[in-house]
Amino acid sequence: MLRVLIVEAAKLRRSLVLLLCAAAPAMVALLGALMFQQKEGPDQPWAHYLLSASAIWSFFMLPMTVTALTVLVAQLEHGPKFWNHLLALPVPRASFFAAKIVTVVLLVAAMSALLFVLTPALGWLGDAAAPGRRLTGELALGQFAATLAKMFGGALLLIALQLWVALRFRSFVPPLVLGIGGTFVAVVATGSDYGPYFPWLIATNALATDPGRAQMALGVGLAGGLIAAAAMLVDLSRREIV
Amino acid sequence: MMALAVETSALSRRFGRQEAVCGVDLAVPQGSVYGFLGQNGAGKTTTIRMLLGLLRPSGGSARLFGHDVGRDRIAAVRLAGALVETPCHYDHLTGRENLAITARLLSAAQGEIDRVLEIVELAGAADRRVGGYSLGMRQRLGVARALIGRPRLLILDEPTNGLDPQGIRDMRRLIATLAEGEGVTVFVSSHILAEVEQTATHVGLMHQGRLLLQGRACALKIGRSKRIVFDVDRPEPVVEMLRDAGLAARAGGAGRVLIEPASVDSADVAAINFMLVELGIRVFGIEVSEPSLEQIFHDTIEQADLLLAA
Repeated sequence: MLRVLIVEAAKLRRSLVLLLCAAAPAMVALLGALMFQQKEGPDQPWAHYLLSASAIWSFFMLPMTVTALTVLVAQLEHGPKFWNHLLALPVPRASFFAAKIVTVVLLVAAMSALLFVLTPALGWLGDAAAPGRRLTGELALGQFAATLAKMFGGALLLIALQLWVALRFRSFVPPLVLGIGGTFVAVVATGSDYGPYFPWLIATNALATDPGRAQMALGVGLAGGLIAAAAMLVDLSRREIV
Repeated sequence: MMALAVETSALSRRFGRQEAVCGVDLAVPQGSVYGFLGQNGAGKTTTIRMLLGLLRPSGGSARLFGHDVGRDRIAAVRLAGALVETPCHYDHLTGRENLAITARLLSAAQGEIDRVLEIVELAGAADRRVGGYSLGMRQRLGVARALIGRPRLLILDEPTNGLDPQGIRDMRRLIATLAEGEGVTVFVSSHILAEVEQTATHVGLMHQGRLLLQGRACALKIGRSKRIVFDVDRPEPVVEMLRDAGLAARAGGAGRVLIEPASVDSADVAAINFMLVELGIRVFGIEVSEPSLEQIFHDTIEQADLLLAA
């Protein structure tokens, strides 16, 4: 399994995947800083600033990036029909698909970590560039990290579902339709009661004021993610390459 | 009994109502170069996919070196390297990086990469991105990938597709080198007979999902009619005379008279020649040739089509 994972990492070299993983959190952090710097008004607490970045990340950028990321990772094999080679090797088939999901999960974790670093860093720069306006109060980095970690955990179900569809279909259209459709629903129905159970809204529910709801969302995301990942491995390992 | 590298028994595959492969019994001896021939859509690639475990058979079984592909795919394909359909590579990586991926997956030594690059003569371009490779280079890189880990069986599906004449010659030479130099059993599919006729020791002919014939290339010619060509100054009376004698003669253009199929021996040829000279016909040359595999295959397919239509 380890060698398949190393190979998966080697394939990302010079691919657009790493660019996407750097650009997505950078855009959220940059947008937050620019909005703060451009907008006039009273001082803003750091807590609000970080909450705003977390919200944009969870209900829009995270699901869209997971959609694009899973499509890119799957198309690495679909595009050149590389499954013909990989699945004819004396290597257990499930290990290829397991390596894919582990890679995507690690990349989403890396994006979350990058957002954790960039948001306060660019906020500080925005603060310095807007003399009339300040970011005030405590910079609660621990709380910010915990929120991003919950969002990451809750996104496991979304990652598993998007990757499953992206790997199952040779065309990139079905996973794109699924991802765009799910994100659209998440944007227009952010406060829905079904949020903790809807894969594209689970991460956002990490911000729920009701601790029970946030806990439920995390539980559904983690458990659902593990179940969906196991089902994906079984399904894809049995599929034929026509 | 000769040990077999590939053996299938009543191998079949349906796609819905369409029978893509029907009751195929392949027998590929170890150390042979087996030309797996047939027109496009004859069922060659579907058969190859079943040999590699990419497709499950609807019926029958396939064995590689005695290992059943359906029951123990990993043991069966461990001794095989394959190039299926178009060569597939990661265009954003270099040739060497592409090979390193397969080498790592097979736990092959890093020296393997240089070895296979040398065999396919791609060492000079190994550090260039594959996106910039020509089709011929991509094909050769595909063969190099299939050779990693020194497989005892090399399965090449239409390896000359899209290659120019020079590329086809290079591929033919490469196949011959692998079989002779490395002792690899080469199973190569093609829809162009001439491509494999010169290198194949054994051939199998697929048509509409069925294996019409297989065997040693030279053995297939035994018992088949020869073709005789007389190069004369006046072909028309010669054709008429030979037809009167009950031979299947026809004018071949440029003073040539063809007798095909010709169930005659060398004494008959001498007698015909003597008769022509006696009649005052000038004979410039006589050519007695074995039937080509192409002709044999053409006849076999024609007979199969007639049987299917009946």
